[in-house]
Amino acid sequence: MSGKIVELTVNGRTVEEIVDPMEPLQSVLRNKLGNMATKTGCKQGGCGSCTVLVDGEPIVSCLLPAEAAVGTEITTLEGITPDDGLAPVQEAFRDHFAMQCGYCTPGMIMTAEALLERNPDPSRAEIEDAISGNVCRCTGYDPIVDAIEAASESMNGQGDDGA
Amino acid sequence: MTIEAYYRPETLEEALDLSAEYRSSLDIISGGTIAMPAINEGKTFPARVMDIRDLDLDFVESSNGERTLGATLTLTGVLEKIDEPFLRDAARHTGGWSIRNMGTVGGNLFSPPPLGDFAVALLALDAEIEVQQRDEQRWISLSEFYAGPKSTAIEADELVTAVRLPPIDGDTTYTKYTRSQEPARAIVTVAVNLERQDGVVETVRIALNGAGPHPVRMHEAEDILEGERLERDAIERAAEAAAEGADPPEDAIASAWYRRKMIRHHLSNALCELRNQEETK
Repeated sequence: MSGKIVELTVNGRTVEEIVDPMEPLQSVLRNKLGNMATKTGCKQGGCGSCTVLVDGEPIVSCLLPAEAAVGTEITTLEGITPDDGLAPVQEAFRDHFAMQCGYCTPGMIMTAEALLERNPDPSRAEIEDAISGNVCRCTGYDPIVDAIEAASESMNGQGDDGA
Repeated sequence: MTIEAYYRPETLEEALDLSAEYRSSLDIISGGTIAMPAINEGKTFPARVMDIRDLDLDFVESSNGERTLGATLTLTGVLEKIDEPFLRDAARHTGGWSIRNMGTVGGNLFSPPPLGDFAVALLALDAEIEVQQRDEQRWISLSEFYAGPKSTAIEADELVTAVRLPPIDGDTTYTKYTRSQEPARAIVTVAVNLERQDGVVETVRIALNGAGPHPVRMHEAEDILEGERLERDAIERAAEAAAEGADPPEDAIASAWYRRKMIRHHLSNALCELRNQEETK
């Protein structure tokens, strides 16, 4: 075995882990570091369920060798969830029933976080475009777009009337 | 089987030394969006992998209308650093957001069909690529680079380091046709760069993706159009020639038969679109 100890910064904490050559970040995050929100999906970069942020950019962690993430700031869903509740995007997903089986949800939320960070007031078309690489087989996407729209409103201090 | 080593060189010298030493037993990745799916799937087990993302090749340089794009420039980088609509269109249609954050200009040249929706635009612009090995640096045209199915004109110890684009003259159009909403694999992607003089086609480059083992130029269709006006008859003959000359891949998305039909249809549409555009001097 040619495993190697690497230092990764995940959700602000620096951890050491043994990784194999070309082992995807997804597998390290989920199977070794216990960040269970980072789902194992298609492993082809096609479904988006393993989306995490690397230095604030959404990437599919199944296609990033873990070693290539050394020296970056990795953020998973666990990292945006407050200790005592939910982040605004998570609240909005719950309120708008933007999930059924929930498998795509962490990836969707990470993409939504990255979008709202860059564009606090996106149009529906911009939201659809941003999440186009995240596949959801349950909701038909409308509730997800509603939720992200509502999250942007609540984060900008406008009330969400639940519409 | 396991992969023995993962190298992450920080200088071009180091990278070229590694490729000289290990040659074809070394797989090269920059964004990972082509190699990683195959490795995850267990389809390939390269002995060694070299990741060139740290080589500072993510630049864009412009001089006298000529642009040089570094091989590890991501597609997101293209959208951030280049304002040319044709190139932006191509970058925009290559993968979703997270894939564009990872996939690179150099890597896209090596995409298996029907991927390579950025490379097809580069082919329509008659791009040249910079190839380096330890003792030598050379430029070859992208048409020469594509040597056949799964084969390129570069040696095992060579690295693609940049893509150079001449100034873009005349009119361009880019169309990607997919079965479902993008991001999705192309059924066919059409990229055309055409120059006219008083309505008569002087030069035209038609590049198609989904029409062969890699992005391909349709020389026969180009020959039909040159010296002609963009009128219905010439357009139809060119589109027909492209469909006949194509050797489309067959996959779960489309049969070769269907791709051929769509080549004719979408090339004809692209040319009609150019006909309806005012000629750019």
